[in-house]
Amino acid sequence: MIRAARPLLGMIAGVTLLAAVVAAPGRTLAQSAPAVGATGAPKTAFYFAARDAQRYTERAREIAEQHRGAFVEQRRLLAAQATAEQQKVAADAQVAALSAEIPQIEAVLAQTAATQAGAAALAATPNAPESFKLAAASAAQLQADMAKLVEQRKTQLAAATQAQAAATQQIAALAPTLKAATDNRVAAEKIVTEAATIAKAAVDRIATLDLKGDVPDPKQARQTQKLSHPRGLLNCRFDAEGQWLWAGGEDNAIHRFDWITGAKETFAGHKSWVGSLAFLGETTPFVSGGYEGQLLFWDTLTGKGAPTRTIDAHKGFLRAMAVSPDGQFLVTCGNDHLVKVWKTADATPVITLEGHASHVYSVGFSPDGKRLVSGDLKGVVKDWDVSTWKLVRDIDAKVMWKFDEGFKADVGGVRCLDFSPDGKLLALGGMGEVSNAFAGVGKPIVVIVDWESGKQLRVLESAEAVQGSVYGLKFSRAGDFLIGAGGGSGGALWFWNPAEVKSFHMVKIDQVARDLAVHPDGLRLAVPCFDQSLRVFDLTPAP
Amino acid sequence: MPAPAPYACRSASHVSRRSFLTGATAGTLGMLGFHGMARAEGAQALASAQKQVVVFFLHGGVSQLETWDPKPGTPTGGPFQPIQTSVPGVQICELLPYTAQIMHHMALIRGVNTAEGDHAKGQYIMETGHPQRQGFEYPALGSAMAYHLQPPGSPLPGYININTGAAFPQEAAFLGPRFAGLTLPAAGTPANLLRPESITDTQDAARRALRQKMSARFEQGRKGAMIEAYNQSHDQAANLLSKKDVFDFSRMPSTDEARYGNHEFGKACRMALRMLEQGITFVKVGHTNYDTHSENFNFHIEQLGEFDRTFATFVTDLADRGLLKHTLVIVMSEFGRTPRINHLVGRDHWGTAWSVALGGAGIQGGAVSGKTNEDGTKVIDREVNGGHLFHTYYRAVGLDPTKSFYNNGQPVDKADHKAEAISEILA
Repeated sequence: MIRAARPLLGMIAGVTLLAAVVAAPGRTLAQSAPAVGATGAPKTAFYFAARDAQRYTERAREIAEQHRGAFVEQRRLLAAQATAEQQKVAADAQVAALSAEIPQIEAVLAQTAATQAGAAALAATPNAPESFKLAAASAAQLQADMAKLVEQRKTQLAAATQAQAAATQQIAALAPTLKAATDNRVAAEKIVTEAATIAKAAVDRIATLDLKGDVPDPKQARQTQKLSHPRGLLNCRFDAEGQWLWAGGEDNAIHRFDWITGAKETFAGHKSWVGSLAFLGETTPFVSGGYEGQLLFWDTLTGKGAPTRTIDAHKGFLRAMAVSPDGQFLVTCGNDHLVKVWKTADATPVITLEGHASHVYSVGFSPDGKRLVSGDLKGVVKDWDVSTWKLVRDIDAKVMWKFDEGFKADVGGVRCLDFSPDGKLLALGGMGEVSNAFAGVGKPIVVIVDWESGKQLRVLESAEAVQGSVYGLKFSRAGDFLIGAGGGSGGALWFWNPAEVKSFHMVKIDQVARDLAVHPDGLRLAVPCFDQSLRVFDLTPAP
Repeated sequence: MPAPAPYACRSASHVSRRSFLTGATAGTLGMLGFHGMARAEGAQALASAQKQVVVFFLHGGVSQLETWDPKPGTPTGGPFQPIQTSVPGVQICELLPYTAQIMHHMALIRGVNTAEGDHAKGQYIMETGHPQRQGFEYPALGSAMAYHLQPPGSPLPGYININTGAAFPQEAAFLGPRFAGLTLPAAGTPANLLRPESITDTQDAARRALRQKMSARFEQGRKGAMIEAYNQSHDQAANLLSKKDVFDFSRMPSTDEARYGNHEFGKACRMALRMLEQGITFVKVGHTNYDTHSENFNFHIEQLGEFDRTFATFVTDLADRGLLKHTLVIVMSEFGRTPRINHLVGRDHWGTAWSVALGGAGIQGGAVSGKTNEDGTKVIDREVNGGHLFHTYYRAVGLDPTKSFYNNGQPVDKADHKAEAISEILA
């Protein structure tokens, strides 16, 4: 039994390994796949699905090969058992035949003995003819032959009985080994089948990702996935490869979701809510910023380790972060009115940019990487020159700020920003026309700024009446439309032509959307909602 | 016509009915609550003559979780961390770093359950010690303290409200308008305090003589409490002019502006300090606003960022001047805020489990009473209500809260007779 258990344990380990691979497909893949940094070209979901299918098919083949021995061994033992059983059947038949023949020969022997005795008596009479003597000699010869035959048959029976016992013993001896080998084969078969099923699912997934020519269509926007979490999630980002959706939580942790399967890894290390995330590349996969003001660098993707660096970056909330297009700089901002620049390579501070007079809510680089912008609570956007880190100009977005005289408090702020891919427009998201500060009653708006002149071109608003704020903003990859996410009493996704004030399409969400992430394939987006969920929306027609 | 209070929930019941001098006469004419009650407790008042009270009213309902009763790491706790205070073992929210340094002057009551989530009703409980009762008005704490503690014959008003936001109607109820609160604008010196320069002393004397003559004639055969109070208010106003320096806030040291902050609340606190120094019995300073149904954390950073340093400076100054030992300091709101964080990252009204902070006269610095459960949704130890708080305030300034007021011969609880003082925080 102990001998049989060993390979079984091996099987179980194999199953566990396989389960781990299934739960986190990217882990093994990311290690072997060429690294794609934050600035790497975005790749389509189709690419990843195809790569997954290939990897899983290969893996299934490997697993089948690893377990081939179990099948071979069981087959060998089955053959040995069959041979022994044949031998036993033959021995049984021989024993039976001999056992039946020997009494018959002995009966003949008894008769020949009587005949021989009679012939001998006749031959012994006086004047017995010569023929009597011949007959007597012949009878004696026959009897001797018969006696010899009996002895011969008895010897044969003994041999056959021995062969019978040997075959029986062989069969009994094979039974336990064969059982273990059979169990092994069943387990191996299960693993191999599972791997084959996974591989097939990966192949089948490709069919579900019919991308219809890679063109996102906002009017097709539909929720295709909802991932739940026990605590509130504040933000989310797809990484450059688009396989994982990362979210910072009110449970002071970062969570990495496989947005297709919902499998989740958790990275704990902050002391307060995690308000921002960014991806740096291969050696430091990601960084996170918390409301305790700390900036954490992580070199792990498994969720087992601790952050490699913990930096007290800001006093009060660390609100937002951005990585320069060349991957050289990481910029953070916070409630201490400061914007800080760090080297991504070694996390060393480069410079602290002072000038904001209120909480800094958002930061971002122009697509050419030459400028950095930061937006604050009072609707002031600062434009910094990346080569000198000097302030170039202030851009006015005060339309998204109000000092409420009744409540004696500042309301609003530049909650999010994004540049058009051609760098000609800067979009700033927030809340305007605040009528009740403390109930958050206002209008979600986007200020479109002509980047060259720094002048406000127009203020975008929702075509349908919605209260609240814009909390997430992103241009489409082609720059042909602008996506906003936010809300107040309920949530919404808005799609604007940046040249027109009213949104051309809106998707209602039953919960406020707190942030917006667009998948690198540009065909889907994700929002964290108040109900502790992440929602994924596809911008492609339903299959 | 006073404007409705700017509450996020659009409560319409917060109305400022009285303002100093500009409305003093009108206020006197409206003194329907006065029933000629004899002031029978003069001796007791004398015994407490040195005692003063200052209330910080954080309008709209400050969050207990972001102040006195943090719950870090829980689903209700929010993003802030607790910090150590000057009292070992007592932690408060990191939004109050300066206040944390004066906690040895303060005591915390963490088991308040007033069971009231309406602004006006919550404020009524906190300012009178009783839930609102149909057809009956309890005097406000300021009026009661002025009644008990103000030295007899003082020309100064006993109860000053520095209005930096929505205010409670400064009703003295049956104690009479003499003890009603006088509201100063946050900007400083009240309007119309000084006589117009165009009126000479002689003209003023003649004017007053005429008024007295007409009043005396009206009084014939009509002797009554209302008329008496009417005349009294004129006398009080005249007496007050002799003490007008109390309200000359231009003399406050300019160096204090940096220490207290260049904002209305800073100025209000400097005014309060000056008035306490000048012997005003009860000063209420409002700080607005905390009705944070959305963006609770952002707004608390902003509001408490203003409150914290100023308040701590104020308490330190009181202590340095030797005033703290006979001045009761109370930090209250109409209620706390819900432990649950709503969809706008706000907190809503919550009277079920919240906190009040006390300090100074009669208070055992560093003491903590009451406890809420892990996520702050329930009081699990030493639950108290408005009655307990009023018993405690009275005891702290050396008054007996078990004695009744007498309103036309009818006894009225000074503090709910079913409650008692929170003795564990009393010195």
